[in-house]
Amino acid sequence: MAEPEDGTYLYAITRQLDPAELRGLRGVDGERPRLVEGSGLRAIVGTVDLARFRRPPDRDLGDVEDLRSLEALLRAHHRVVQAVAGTAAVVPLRLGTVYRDDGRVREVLDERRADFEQALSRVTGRTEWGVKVSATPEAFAGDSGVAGDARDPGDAAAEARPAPDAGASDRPGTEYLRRRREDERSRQEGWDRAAAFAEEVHAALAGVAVESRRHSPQDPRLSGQAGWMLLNGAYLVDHGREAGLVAVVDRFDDPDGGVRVELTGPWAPYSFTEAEGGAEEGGHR
Amino acid sequence: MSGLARGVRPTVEPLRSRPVALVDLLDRLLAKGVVVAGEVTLTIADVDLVHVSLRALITSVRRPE
Repeated sequence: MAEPEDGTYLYAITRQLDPAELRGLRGVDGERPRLVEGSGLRAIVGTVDLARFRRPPDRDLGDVEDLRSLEALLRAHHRVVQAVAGTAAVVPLRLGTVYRDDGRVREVLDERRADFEQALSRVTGRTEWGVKVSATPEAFAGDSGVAGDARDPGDAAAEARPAPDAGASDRPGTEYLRRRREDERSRQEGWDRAAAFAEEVHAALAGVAVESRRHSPQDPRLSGQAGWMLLNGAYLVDHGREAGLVAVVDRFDDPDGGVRVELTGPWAPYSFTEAEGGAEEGGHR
Repeated sequence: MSGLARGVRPTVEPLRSRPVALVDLLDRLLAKGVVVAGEVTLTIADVDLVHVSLRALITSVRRPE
């Protein structure tokens, strides 16, 4: 059956890195990350036991132990990538990229050198930052205290809404339906205002950034945040322009008004290393 | 040539020491990233499955609170 078998786990690619920067780090299999050099590039790799990563195909990721080890894997991968990103321009590889041995890694460095160089140029001198915008539904309900500059022309429609009709209470059923429709409409309007707000924040952040990208809103069950997640953005920002980013965040952040704008990072440029033009599925050559 | 500038403004410096939320990590690590064809297919590559399962993970991890 399966005998112990090593593989080379690939974390990231960089141009230059002092091996001393890897000292003290532990990788996804508890191993000490190291460098493989070739074609003018350096790959940050680790020797891993393949058996540890291969799951029998008939087993589901159902039990908590598996899931915990999955989180450990994510965090270990991130720790290595992030440590390197703190000292050099780096292109993170997709989680779980593993080769038979170092020789194969060198071949890949050679075969894909142009792609890696291009990806490195894209992120050199830049850092990824994350900005998450969330709000309580009340923050955008009606005309009261909306945060920042997020005024939206939709308010005119809200003002044109007919005043409650005192006579309607003669017919409770009709009144109920009318109110429900009204609630739905004002909820929709609140949502529209919130969405417009998110667009405005994103545009302001994108104005500071070299590149930007929106991740899907986070599942509240994962984020633990109640309310609406309006924006889950990633921004690639030139070094030295961080203050501009922070200024935008501060301008829109309004905890008292129920709007939270949160900055995360610095991140290795995870969100900006996908090959452009959809080449990422390997159809590039 | 440095990646994350060592001399980032003081305004963002405190962020470095903050723990990274797993959910933020997921957004990034499960995004495609640079894809080169690894020779050994890890089950982790099944991103959808990972996403679904992590909900269960978070729920189970949170429960003791």
